[in-house]
Amino acid sequence: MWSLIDHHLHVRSPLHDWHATAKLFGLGTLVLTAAFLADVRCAAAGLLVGVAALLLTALPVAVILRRMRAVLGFILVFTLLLALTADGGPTLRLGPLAVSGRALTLAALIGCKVTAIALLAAALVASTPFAELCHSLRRVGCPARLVQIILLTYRMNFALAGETESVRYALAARNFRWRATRRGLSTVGTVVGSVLVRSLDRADRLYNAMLARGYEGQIRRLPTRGGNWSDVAKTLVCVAIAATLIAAERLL
Amino acid sequence: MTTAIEANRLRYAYRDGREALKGFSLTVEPGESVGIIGPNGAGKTTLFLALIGIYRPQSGMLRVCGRDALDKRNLSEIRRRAGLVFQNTDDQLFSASVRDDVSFGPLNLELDADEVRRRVDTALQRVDAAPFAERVSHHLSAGEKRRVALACVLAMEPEILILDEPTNDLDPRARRETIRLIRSLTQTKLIASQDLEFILETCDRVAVLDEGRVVADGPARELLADRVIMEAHGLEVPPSLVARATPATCPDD
Repeated sequence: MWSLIDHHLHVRSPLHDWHATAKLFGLGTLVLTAAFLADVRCAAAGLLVGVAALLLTALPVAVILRRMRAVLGFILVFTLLLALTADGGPTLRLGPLAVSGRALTLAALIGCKVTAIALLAAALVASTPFAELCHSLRRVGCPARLVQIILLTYRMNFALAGETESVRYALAARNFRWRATRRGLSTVGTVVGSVLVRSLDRADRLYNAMLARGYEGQIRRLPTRGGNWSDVAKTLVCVAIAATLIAAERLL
Repeated sequence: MTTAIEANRLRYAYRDGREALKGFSLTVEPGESVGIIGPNGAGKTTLFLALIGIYRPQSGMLRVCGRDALDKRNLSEIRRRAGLVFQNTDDQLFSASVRDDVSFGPLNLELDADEVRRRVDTALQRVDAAPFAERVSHHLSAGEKRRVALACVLAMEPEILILDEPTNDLDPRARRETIRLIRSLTQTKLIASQDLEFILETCDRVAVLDEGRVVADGPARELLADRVIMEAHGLEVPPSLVARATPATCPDD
């Protein structure tokens, strides 16, 4: 899902045109609603909302699936484990495996909720510039220091990946092949240590560069365009969907 | 007119006790373009970080734009007036987009949004980086990053430009464009580089730094052609000056 960030901003879609703060508020409401749903049918409806949100980003389904395969794979494994391990009396036997009705319902509920949340988050991340998203987090009350940490972590991830890659090439250039031997483990340990020390140095230099340009504890940003009625309408649609899901759960 | 940079007997040692500046002295007048050359580890980067108050020399005198750079209260003003372009551009560009990176400094000066936009647009145009203003900084090529790093500092409209190895990672065309750009800038410039042809084209004056102190200081063309001084400090006469270079002193002479 990490690879969805800042890679699809050229796409035109209703979600891409939505003001970042309004979008964060609208989709955030849906995420919170999905997290608190306790009825499996409503959770399934929440999942459909998540799918719809992601489709509205106008990204090709194959790209989305490819970029989310790790997250979706994890959810699938987690759900299967839950179905096989939760208590509730065996009702169905598949060889040595016993699955209860309660466990199945619980797994379906958790699976739907988590997938819905992941899809909504993916829709949000794929359609919003990361910096704008972070500053929207600040606008909706997230602590400034946390937002700075998120922004710098995002940037440093690329620096760390770059350092790791150059060390990997340096090892490969000297014919290093990973084996679980004492020497192999020692080499990998040294390399991991070296990457971490280099990253620490890089963080120091980055901080110096920020100080050099007048940083005094706050990352400021130019104001972006204000919201319009279309943004408000989209947010209200999300709030209405969330309210419908909550009402449906109470009625069922 | 106030001296741009005035350093006298500056001493700076790292926490491990290693001395990087050992009595560094130099005076730079406004509008001068001074090249700082010297072997690796001579103290060039340490000096630049000391000039903008990131490293605090333990003794000596340092004034930047007339302000005492050893006094913490002046650091904010000094960093407004003296802009440093770092050797490694990846250390300097940390925002999610080029525009965010370039606006970071001016926003820290607490200018109003319109003025920040004007400065950002002007700086980006100055370095021909306007077409990729909305791109993500870490996805740029080395040459593009170098231009954006320079725009980051130009947007603060500093009186002194301090450039640490500005031609690192540049291909010949990008290097040529950097020379043209730096020559067009009217600010006081302090440039450290191992690319002596570049120094020759952009600086009127050169100071040779070795083991933390200035060992020679003079007009660029004369000093760079002095084979004795250059070779004594681990440097070489740039190819374009070889014909007029003073001969090296042979130890057997």
